[in-house]
Amino acid sequence: METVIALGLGLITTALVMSVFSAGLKNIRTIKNTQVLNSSATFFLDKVTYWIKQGKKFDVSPTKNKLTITLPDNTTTIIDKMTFGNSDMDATTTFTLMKKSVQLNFIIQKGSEILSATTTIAQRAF
Amino acid sequence: MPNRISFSKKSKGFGIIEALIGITIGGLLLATFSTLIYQTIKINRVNASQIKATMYLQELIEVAKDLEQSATTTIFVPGPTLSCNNCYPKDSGGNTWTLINVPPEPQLEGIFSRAITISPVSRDATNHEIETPYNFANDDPYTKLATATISWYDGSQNHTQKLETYLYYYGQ
Repeated sequence: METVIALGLGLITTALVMSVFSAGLKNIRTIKNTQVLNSSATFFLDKVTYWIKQGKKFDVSPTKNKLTITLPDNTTTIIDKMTFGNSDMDATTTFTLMKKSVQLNFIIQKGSEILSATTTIAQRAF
Repeated sequence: MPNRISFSKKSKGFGIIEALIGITIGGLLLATFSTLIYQTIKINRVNASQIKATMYLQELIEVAKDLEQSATTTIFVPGPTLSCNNCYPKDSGGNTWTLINVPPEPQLEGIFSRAITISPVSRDATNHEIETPYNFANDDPYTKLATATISWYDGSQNHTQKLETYLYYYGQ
C-alpha cells in the first residue's frame, strides 16, 4: 500500500516539477529577451544622442525611417534600424524633424517581448 | 526469530514518510526557484519602465533645449513670471514644439505622468552666481531653470524622477 501511495505521490510530484520547469524555461527566455531589448534601447539612444548633439544638418528619408546627420566637417552618418547593432531582433524607427530637435520613435521586438518608445533629442546650441 | 521478522518489516520498501520528506524538499526548491524567476521578471519589467520613464523625462528637457533656440521670446520672459507651469510638449504643426498645460496631458502608456516648469532665475549682483531662492531684484532674463518630473506606478510601488537644467539665451 505504501509503495502505491509513494508511487502516486511521485507521479504527482514529477508532473508538478515538469510544469514548473517548462514555465520556468519560458520565463527565463522572456527575461533574456527583455534584457536584450532594454540594453538595445539604451545603446541606441546613447548613440543617437551622441550624433544628433554633434549634427549641424538633418535629413529624414521620405519613408521617415532613416535619419541622415551632417556633421560640422560635412561628413554624414546614417541612423536607422541598423544602429541598434542587433540583427537578431526586429526593429522599426521613425524620425520627425522639429525646428531644433529630432523626435524619434522606435519599436523593437525579440520573441514575444516588445519595447516601444518615443523621445526627442535637441541639437546642441552653437 | 521474532526479532528478525520485526527488523525485516521496519526496513521494507520506500515509506510514505520518506516520500513526504522528498516532496517537501522538492516543494521548497520549486518555491525558491519560482520566487527567483518571478523576482527577475519583475526587476526586468521595472527596468523597462525605468528606461521609458527616463526617455519621456529626457524628452521634456530636450524640448526645452529646442525652444531655448527656436522660441526665445516665449522662454525668456523677463521678471518673476513662469515661462510655463506644469506643461507638456505638443507638436503644434510646422515642426514646432509648444509647451502647454491645458488640457492636461493624458498619461503616457496609461502609467506615466510628466510635466515641465520653466521658472525665473536671479543672479547675485556681485559674483553673478545663481541665487537660491529666486530674488526678483536680481532677475536674469537670459537664464531660466527648467525642471522636469515624471511619476509612475509599476504595479507595486510609486516612482518619481526629476531632472533640472538651465536654459540660456544665445541671442538668436
